[in-house]
Amino acid sequence: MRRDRPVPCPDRHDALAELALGTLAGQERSDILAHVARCHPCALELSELSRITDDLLQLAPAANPPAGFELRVVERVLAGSTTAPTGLPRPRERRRRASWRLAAVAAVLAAVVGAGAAVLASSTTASKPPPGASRPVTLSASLTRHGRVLGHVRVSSGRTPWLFVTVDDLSGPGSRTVACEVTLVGGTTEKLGRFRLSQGYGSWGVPLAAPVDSLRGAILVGSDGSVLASARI
Amino acid sequence: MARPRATSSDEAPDEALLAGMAVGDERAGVVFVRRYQRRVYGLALGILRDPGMAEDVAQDAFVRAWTHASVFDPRRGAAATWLLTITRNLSIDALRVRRPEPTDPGDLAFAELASGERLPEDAVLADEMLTQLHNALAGIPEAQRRAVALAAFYGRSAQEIAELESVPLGTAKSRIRMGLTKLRDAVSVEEAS
Repeated sequence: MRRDRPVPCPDRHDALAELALGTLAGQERSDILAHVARCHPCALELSELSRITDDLLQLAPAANPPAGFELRVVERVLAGSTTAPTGLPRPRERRRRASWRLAAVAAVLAAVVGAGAAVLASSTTASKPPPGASRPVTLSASLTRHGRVLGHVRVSSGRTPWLFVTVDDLSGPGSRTVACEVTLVGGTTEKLGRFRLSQGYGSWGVPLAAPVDSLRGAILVGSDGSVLASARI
Repeated sequence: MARPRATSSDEAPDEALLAGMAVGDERAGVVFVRRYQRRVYGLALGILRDPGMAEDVAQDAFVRAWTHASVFDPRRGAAATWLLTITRNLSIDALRVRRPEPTDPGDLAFAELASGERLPEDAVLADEMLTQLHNALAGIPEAQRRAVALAAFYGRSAQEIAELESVPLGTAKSRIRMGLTKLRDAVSVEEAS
């Protein structure tokens, strides 16, 4: 044992180990958390035991997932799928997913397959291809209202241009329908469609008829015609 | 002054990939999934012992990491740790809901892993500290090793471990504490030497 380690309180040893392993609940958990907050040796002990617990997970043997695993992950992310509150996965809905999403996923995967071509831009939210490349470009813009970020709009070029909206926090009780519109070069507006928000959350995508580089912005419009959020693309 | 070098997604550090994912960069996300899919799926499979459930949980773990990439804080730990902890928690949730019967102590993949009798072919043991940890696991008494494995990989409480192992609660707590503390001490000694 390291000689310079402060000695944790003897009567807290068991609880510290169980807390580090994430198996302590209820009053026991509350008590030890309150104690750790004011006891430096116990806080240090908890930190070290927690690190061991984290590292144990890395000892698990790796295994190859079924073919197409990454495709299905990306598909779910693009479809706005989230984990059920219980931690159980949602039923698979592959058959009901629109073909444009698959096209978008395929475009993303194809882009990554291009060896060494993908570039992570450090100062912009766009993933741009190198000069001369004809790979799809994906742009992301924040949906904001009064300076507050409420969601994101993503558009991608390529064989099947698409737009995808995620709304993370457009507060409002119950469900409501919002319209998505885009503004084009020259100031014209085009209505893309409507989608439903539930408890302020929702996502929706649509193939684009117009080229991506003709887009200047996107807005979400409420049923009364008011602009709920906007994004500059 | 040297020009900043454009970084290939395949070479980008985890934190950069998560930053890209947070702003909707699907390519960064795909690279991240490819980088960790074998480890995430392997952990889920080890806990659940069911390929179908493991794939669902592994997908959930990536989706959750992706959608919460913006809140990842590298100061609080490595991305791999964060991702594997998500996987572990989702696996335990799924295990409890779908297979509510107690874990059979004789059916513990990770107790076998921790036995030291064999090194998993694909375990990520390149890191010296992980090798030390694996060796330390082999060196602690089997009862403590099983208690730590039941808690760390299966989320079993001391009370549940006491019932599974047919020992008093105090004994289960001692096994957990002594096992984990010995692992910490073994790794700390190696680090200090």
